[in-house]
Amino acid sequence: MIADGVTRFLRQYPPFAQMEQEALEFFVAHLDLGYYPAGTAILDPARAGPGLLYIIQRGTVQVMTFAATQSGDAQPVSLGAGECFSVGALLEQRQVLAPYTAVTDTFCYEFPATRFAELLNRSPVFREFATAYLTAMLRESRRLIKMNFTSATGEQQAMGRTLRSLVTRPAVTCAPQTPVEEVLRTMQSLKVGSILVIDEAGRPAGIFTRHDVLDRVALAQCGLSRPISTVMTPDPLTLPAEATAYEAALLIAHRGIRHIPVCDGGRLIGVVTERDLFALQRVSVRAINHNIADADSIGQLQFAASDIRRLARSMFGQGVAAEQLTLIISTLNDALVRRILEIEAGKFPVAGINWCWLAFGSEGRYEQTISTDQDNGLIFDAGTADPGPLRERLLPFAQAVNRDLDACGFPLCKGNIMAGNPQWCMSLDEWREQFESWIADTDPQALLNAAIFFDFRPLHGDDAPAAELRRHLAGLAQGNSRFQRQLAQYALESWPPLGRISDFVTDDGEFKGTIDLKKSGARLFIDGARVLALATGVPHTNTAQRLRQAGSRLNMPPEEIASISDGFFFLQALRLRVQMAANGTLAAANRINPADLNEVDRRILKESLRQARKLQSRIALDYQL
Amino acid sequence: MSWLRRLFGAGPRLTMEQSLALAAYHARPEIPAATPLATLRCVVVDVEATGLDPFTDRLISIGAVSVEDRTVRLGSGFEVVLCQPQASSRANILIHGIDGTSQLAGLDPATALISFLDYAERAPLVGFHADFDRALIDRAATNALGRAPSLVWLDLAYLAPALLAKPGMAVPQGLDAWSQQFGITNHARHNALADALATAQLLQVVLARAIAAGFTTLADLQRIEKDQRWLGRH
Repeated sequence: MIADGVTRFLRQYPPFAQMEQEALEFFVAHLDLGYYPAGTAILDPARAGPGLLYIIQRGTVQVMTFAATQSGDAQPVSLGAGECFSVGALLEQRQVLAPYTAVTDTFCYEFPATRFAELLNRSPVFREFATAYLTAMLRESRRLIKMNFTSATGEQQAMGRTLRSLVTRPAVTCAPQTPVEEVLRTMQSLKVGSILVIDEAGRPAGIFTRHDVLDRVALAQCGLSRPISTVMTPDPLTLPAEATAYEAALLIAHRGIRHIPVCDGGRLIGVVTERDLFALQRVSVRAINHNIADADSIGQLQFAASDIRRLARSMFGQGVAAEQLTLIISTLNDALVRRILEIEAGKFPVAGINWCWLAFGSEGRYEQTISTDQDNGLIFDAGTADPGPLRERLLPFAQAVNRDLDACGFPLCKGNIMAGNPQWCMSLDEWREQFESWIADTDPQALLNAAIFFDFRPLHGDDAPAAELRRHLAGLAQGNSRFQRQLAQYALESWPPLGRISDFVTDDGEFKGTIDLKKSGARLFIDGARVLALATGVPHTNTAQRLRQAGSRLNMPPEEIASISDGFFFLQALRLRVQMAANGTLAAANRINPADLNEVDRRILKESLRQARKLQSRIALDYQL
Repeated sequence: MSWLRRLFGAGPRLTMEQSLALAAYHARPEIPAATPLATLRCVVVDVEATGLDPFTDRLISIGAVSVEDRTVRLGSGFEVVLCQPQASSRANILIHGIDGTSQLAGLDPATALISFLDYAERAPLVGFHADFDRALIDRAATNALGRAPSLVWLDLAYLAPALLAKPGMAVPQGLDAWSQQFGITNHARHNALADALATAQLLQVVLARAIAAGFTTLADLQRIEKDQRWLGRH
């Protein structure tokens, strides 16, 4: 009798409208009805986890979204009749993240938390409803990381901001025929470091900066009456207004430029400078780049290396997402390695050899976090000659580089995968043979090697032999289904540390209670993405790129690809956070105790690991493993 | 059996089980007046009868639902139809919807009333215009069990105006008007259980307001009701 009325009510709302009749009967049979006068806090983060699932019968309940609670302009979300709360808290068995307050007199149906698991079990419809809820949470993850990591820097400096929002005043411009003297006066009186030369259509034709004055005007003794177009840098690199601050930071890091004109539909709207981007930072991308380029001793490079870590920490705090951050770290580390190579190459008799420094592993994938040990090798072109003597000349050089990298905070590889090891200092032909034998071999170690070395990329030197190796390899692997299958098997060897019930499976022994975010987390995505890339002939080494390109070739729905990537980046972000907190102690650099995480992160971590499982299931299905 | 007869007087003939159940019921301690409102268990009651005269009409059905910790225990609804010697009038049946066949097929009144008392335990009974419900239940119990149960009754017809009336606004009259004010829906008016459910929700509002106003015990509610009754008469 009562149940009929309640059932009729619930049937009007999702997920009860779709819920299996039997499950709904079970649900209704365990309901109570609570009353909360306006102003009552129904759930409060200060109290223990909710003992009940609430379904509003009538009235209005407000909740500050957990994202909003930490920023100034909190936007409350109102819940009305038929809406449930707090599904997340019950799923994760934690307290709520923000208070749920009745803003009008409110009646709620109440379902006991003790039966929640049974409800999930009985009703696939409700289970789906709950899972969808969690997936939506994951989308918030990036914003949350930012807020959890640092509430002080706030949203304003987020590297995700568009350049349009960074352009605060119109750029100082002049026409191409303006005399140099007039330009210099303008720059002097307006105290600007650069001037944009624009054509009649408002498009940037060139840029002229204070640094150019010395080289091109003073030292070149150019006449001050000449048009600026003769001394400007023509066709400057520009970015669209919708590009983000991080893209500008990358460009600055890559090209060593200080000013980036920002265009909207081709027309100049302003200039973003390095100072705009890193106004509040002690170290900047360009400054580090500059220091690296100027360094002529390993001592100086050690400082630069610690600056890279400091910058990473600062940018992470400003909300730069893991994808961009690992890319920036990799880019700067690349510059560092290049400089070391240049310095050491000058000390050893390696001139005249076509060698190329190869990066493997995370460096090869542009996914370096802060604590990364070395994974590198050398490839050289020996032609038809005996590679032995060339190797003998290269090895002392490579070993010196390995030592320098160690001094700069990239510890020697425990597995000795380093260019200074004769085994990984090989000619193009030797590398070819090596890969061929790995691919032909069924030995697990060979497979492991193939996986590590597959993610190589040329870092410095002569690109030609590395490019040739990549071409050779793609053909070799794509045509070999047994090898692909083995690699897939390898990718499925470890499983996400998720328990059957909904908890984490943590390790024992030295790292009791923790999970390894690399081995049992990020690696699952990396290995999975490698399999997909190999199967579809995607040449990228970067995991996100592999997922995106291989995923689209496999007709995976874009949302699925995005969810998997999000999961990967969340794990990467967690690793970064742990590494920053650990401050260089490498042993625990990838370890996290789920119990130490806040509730939001724990929930997202769980969902991220589920995404890894999803990727693995797809591979298992594809290869019928 | 003599002690049982002495206990209940020469009333109606009850079976052994019924007598024992009744004895067990009366042996229960009464609810202390100092019981805190926040955790109090109340049983909200509504009855349907053959008419509107509490002194001549007969009890047809009792609907009840319990409120505990200020929460309506939806799963604990109680509903019983008492077996009638003859079906009530057609007009009456149209009100409560308990047709003649159901009336004649109901439980024998003694069993029905004992099961109700067992359900209520010694919790205070709450009704809207509870005097009517109380009169019918007491009379039916006197007839069927030999005596009326001594229970605490609370009447929302007095408690609601005392605690919920807003100054300067007309005081709602009747359960429907109060329900409307608080948005309480009733999916089957004049079904004893559905009416009890609506009344229970009004009780929730009353309890919340009473606690917010600083009242803490069952005795407080009884005093408020008494005062309001006195006001109503003057």
